[in-house]
Amino acid sequence: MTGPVVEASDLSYAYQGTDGPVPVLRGTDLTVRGGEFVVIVGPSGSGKSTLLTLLGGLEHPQAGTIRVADRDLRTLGAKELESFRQHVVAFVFQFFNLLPTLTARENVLLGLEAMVPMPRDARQRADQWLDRVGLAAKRDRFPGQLSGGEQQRVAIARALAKETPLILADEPTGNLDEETAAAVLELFVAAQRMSGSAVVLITHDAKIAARADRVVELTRGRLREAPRVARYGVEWPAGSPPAQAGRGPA
Amino acid sequence: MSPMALLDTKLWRDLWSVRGRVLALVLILGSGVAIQFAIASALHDLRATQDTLVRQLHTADLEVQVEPVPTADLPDARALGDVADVESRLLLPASLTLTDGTSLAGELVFQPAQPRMNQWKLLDGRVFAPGADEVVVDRSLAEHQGLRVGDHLTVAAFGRQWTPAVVGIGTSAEFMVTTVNPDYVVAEPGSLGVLWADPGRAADITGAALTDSLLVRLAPGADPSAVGLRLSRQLESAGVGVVSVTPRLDGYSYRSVRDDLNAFAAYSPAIVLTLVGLSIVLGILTFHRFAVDKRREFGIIAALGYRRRRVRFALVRLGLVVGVLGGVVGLILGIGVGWAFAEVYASGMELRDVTHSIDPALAAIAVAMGIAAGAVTLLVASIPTLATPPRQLLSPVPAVSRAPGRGRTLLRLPLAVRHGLRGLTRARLLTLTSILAMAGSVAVAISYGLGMTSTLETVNGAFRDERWRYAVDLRQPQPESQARAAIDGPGLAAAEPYQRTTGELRAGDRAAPALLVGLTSSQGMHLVTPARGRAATAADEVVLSDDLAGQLGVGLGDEISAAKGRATQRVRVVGITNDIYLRQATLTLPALQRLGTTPDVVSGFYVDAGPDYADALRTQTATIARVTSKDSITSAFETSIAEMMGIIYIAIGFSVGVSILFVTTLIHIQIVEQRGEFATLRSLGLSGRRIRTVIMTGVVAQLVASLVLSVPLAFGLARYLNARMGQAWFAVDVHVGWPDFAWPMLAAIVVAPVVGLLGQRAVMRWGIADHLRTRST
Repeated sequence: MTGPVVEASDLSYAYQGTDGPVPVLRGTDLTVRGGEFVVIVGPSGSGKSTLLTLLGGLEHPQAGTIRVADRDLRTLGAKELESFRQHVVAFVFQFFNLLPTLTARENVLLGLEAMVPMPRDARQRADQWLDRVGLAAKRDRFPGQLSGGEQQRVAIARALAKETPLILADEPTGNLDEETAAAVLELFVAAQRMSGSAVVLITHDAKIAARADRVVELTRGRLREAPRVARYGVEWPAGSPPAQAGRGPA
Repeated sequence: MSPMALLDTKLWRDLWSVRGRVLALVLILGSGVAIQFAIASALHDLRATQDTLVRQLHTADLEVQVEPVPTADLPDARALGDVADVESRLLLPASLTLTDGTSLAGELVFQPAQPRMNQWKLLDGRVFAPGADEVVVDRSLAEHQGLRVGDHLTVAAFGRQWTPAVVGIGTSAEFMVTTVNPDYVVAEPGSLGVLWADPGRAADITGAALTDSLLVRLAPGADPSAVGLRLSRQLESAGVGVVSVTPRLDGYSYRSVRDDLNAFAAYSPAIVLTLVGLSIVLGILTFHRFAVDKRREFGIIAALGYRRRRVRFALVRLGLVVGVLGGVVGLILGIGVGWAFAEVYASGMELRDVTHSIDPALAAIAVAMGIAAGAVTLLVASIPTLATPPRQLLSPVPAVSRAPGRGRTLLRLPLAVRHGLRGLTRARLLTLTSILAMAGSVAVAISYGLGMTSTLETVNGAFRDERWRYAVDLRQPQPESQARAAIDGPGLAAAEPYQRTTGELRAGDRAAPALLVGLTSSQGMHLVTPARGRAATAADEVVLSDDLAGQLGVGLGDEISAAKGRATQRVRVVGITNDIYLRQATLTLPALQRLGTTPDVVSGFYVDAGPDYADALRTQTATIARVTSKDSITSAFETSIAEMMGIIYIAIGFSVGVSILFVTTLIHIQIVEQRGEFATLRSLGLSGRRIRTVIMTGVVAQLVASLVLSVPLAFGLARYLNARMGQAWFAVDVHVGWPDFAWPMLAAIVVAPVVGLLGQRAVMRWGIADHLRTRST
């Protein structure tokens, strides 16, 4: 593991509700090191997805600072944010967010074509990642012709093919059945290891949490290291505090 | 709260969430309502204004024109019964020469300053003094020739010259619309100078107190044609030659305005129908997309056990409210547009001081139309969604399984372009209907222009093919050899005689007054080209104008009677024309001469002569009644059609407006529907330029397809409009003018990309996170 990819400190964010602002993040801190696999857990509505959008530069916090790969997100203009999303961060969403009118290959390629400059080996990279996620044979199929698990594998390939230092995943298995979710998770972990990217992943799935380097829990707007809790159905290795823990049990 | 109320609440909130779309629908429906109300209201106001003027100025119920006769020799018409009042006067054709040397045809009307019938209204100056060399001139003459009170003009009439002073300017219902030659139907404002003068001066000019016009007020309930017939017999028994008996409704001025308004009234439903139809179709399409967008929610409602009928009723209630809004907006717009249209039209028809009103019945019809359109729109728009089983509604949107872009050429295109193109194939039927609707909205605007170009070109073409330059009408029918000497003038190259006279056609128990025309040849200087059948070549054959055939209820091969005074002749209908000449029956010259019991007599000539010919002949007032220039008739027709163009331009404006509204709404909807995808694209780091490429690819592809489709659609609609014009007035062929295509297309070409660009800017302003959780597949 290398130096920090994400350094977020004292983040505050509130939604504008009908009765005034509704705070979701209150002085939240998070540090993620290069190649680290961090899972964020927490009850619904606790602000997990909000934190992810802030880390991805999709929204700005009302207070606090976020540095991702040595970039202070507060100082980035629209063009720089575009570049940030092209080269630094990649997303995997719960509903896959594939473009239905592009084939699997084109969906993966789309993320690479967005990059300026576009990688010379974009096509090979797209094919390579589709191969790695086991969809080489189905690369010319449209998302509608793929199963949910296959679609999520395309989405993972799209994120990983960009070879960004940070991948943000918002409940990537939340829309899949248990068996498929497990397969996708295996693939995701393996692919992430291969790419060396840091991953921040939101999930309610204890099995995923168990595979993380670190699990943090977001409650009442603050992050804290999650204990080895039965709450998630998984015991962390004895004597290994989650923060220092290596990979979870296979 | 009852379940129904909750359903209403849900639908209301849904509509509120797309209030921009609702506003567009209200405006689109309002446009249709506005055009309908504007046309109906303007026609109502114009007719009412004309009727009011006719009533206020005490227009006679009948006018009997006779050959000039000493007033003292006239029998007492009141003795006939059913005649409440009779007033005699003298109308002399004249040639007027203004101080600047301009000469034009005139009509001297010798009648008292305060006549009991056919009064005129003084607008400026004063009335003429008894026995003075003074005249009051008609407003049309004053305005078109720049005459003012105090000016003098030279009048040549009855072989004498007179130089009266203009002491007043007036207007009348009788001469509200003037023309040199009423046979050509079309009004030529300013071409005939009407002067009112003291009857005492008439005797100085003619040498005796003469009468050639009797104005008759009928007793209440009397039948104008029966009284006219009895009056004709009485006059003829007294040795007075009757030229014509004209009921008030057939007077040139009244008929001219009415024919014009009736023709437009018959034609305008086509305009209203196309625009209202377009509005409803566009509305349905707009809200169909809304229903598709809400398909899952409709699925949930159905899954909860709501019957389709209940949902339909709720939608109808919603549609009624949208319709009320559309109706009211249309009514407000229509009042303004109708007012403007009536003014423009009235000014072209010389009909002044239009009485504007809001007819409650017309207003109610307009609002009702809006309400019905609103209800139909929402109901029909939701039919496909409501007809879909809940399970299907709740399942994901059908997947894209085939798409263009797999061919080599398309594969070379950038991904953003491919995505934009394939986006259109996602819901093929929806895209196709969108393109069709966009094409339709452009096509309607084009077709209105094409319709008007076709009408103008048909008129121009009809006159262009005619080989005469002037039509010279003699004061009295004369033997041809004698008449030829009378019409000799500068540059006379050719002359072909004709006879024109008023008469009556009878078929069974139906009768219709007609202009009887006798020609030496149907392919001579004046062409007769029947739309059905052939030209008359034998003495017992006649060609009728389409309106006459309709009035008489006859067709090709039918036998009818042509009557002139007491003489009648059986003739067979061999042809029916549908050209610009209305109420016309064309026979061979010998046939008409025989009917008039005056062999070898002609009433005028078609003439090909030099430009000075008309002015030279107009001074021969003793023998020449009028000289009609083909050029001035053509230009008068163009002017007359230009009046109609006013409302067509407004209709074009509305349809272009509707088109712009629809294109804007459609593109906006398409962008909003793909908000999740745009958020994904932005999360991938796609630049604003690339997102613009995606949007513009879809916009341009649809625009190009719709513009291409709009061409045949516009031709089809123009054919329909021309057919309606043919039924209302005369047959119109399709003629194309490039501006008819250019302006509506240009509007779409400008608007669509602008809306696309604005859409792209909106996409770039949207919060990415807000839309990322939208299911895309």
